[in-house]
Amino acid sequence: MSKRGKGEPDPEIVLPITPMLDMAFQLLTFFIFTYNPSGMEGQFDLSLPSEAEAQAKEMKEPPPPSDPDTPPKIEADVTVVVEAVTDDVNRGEIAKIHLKQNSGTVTVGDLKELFDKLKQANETASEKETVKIQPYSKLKWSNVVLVADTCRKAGFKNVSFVEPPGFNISVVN
Amino acid sequence: MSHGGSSDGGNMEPNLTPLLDVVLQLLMFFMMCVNFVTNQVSEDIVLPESMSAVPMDKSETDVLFVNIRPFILKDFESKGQAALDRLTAKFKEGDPFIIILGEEPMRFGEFKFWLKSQYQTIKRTSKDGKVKTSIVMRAHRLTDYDQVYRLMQTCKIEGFRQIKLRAITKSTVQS
Repeated sequence: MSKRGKGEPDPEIVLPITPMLDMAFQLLTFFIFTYNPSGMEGQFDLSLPSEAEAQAKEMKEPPPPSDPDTPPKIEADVTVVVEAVTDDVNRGEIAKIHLKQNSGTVTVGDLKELFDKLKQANETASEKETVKIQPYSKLKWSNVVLVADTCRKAGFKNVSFVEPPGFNISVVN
Repeated sequence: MSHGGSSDGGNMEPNLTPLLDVVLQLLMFFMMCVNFVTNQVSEDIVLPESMSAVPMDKSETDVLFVNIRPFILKDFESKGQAALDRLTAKFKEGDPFIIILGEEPMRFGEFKFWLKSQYQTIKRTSKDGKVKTSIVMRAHRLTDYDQVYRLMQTCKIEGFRQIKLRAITKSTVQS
């Protein structure tokens, strides 16, 4: 094994940068080509009927009597019923929207009109933050989310989904 | 302004080190942007867009992913004839198609059975005997509402307390 003398300068260490750069470029190319920025997923809170209610529905038994010490659950004043188109061409699109309040039911044409009516309803409702949405069975999920968005935009923070008309959970698919 | 150069005119190698630095930084960016979440969810699901969807809480790890969509034959044609035959033997057009990663696609009856066994397993292995697992529901935008509702109710009936619905946040939706 050779040893350097005291007076000799340190040998110059040359890093092989070129192959490293080649490899880095290849990796970079791979990641650029496979880069697919998908939309950011988010989530929203969900309010459902109570578990007891759901169980009772399945077992076809009435829900158990509530505890007299617990305060009664405040029901929403406002319910949005969304009918679905059933023809083959536009199946699952919004057909009609009904806004049910204590004062009566109004039918609105589109989501913009629903927003205006919900704003008014929000001012007069006793339970200002809660709204129920009752979509028809065949309404597309994207339309349900649009209606829920409109309700939140109009000031209702708690949006709960209720079962579609004629729904029977015991039917097994 | 004087430009330096080697007086002997021999060694004219460009300095590659800053170039390598930049390339490595870019490489690091693209590697970090790889969406590792996709191995838990199904790419067959196109989520609806929502303005009110909030960013996910990434610290929450105790979750079960449930994907649901209607069975549409033409969407599965690329999966090969053998897979297609297996699917068409089980599903008709428009049937609810429940996808759990690592499992065969399910119908509601099978899903209910699977969910029940999951609940029992989680309960048995939980330290305090309580189930704190959330269900993350990813429903395709074309799914009928009654199918989504049935899925939510099934989860509640089987004992899961927390259900989270996924959507694409509208501000980030690409045109």
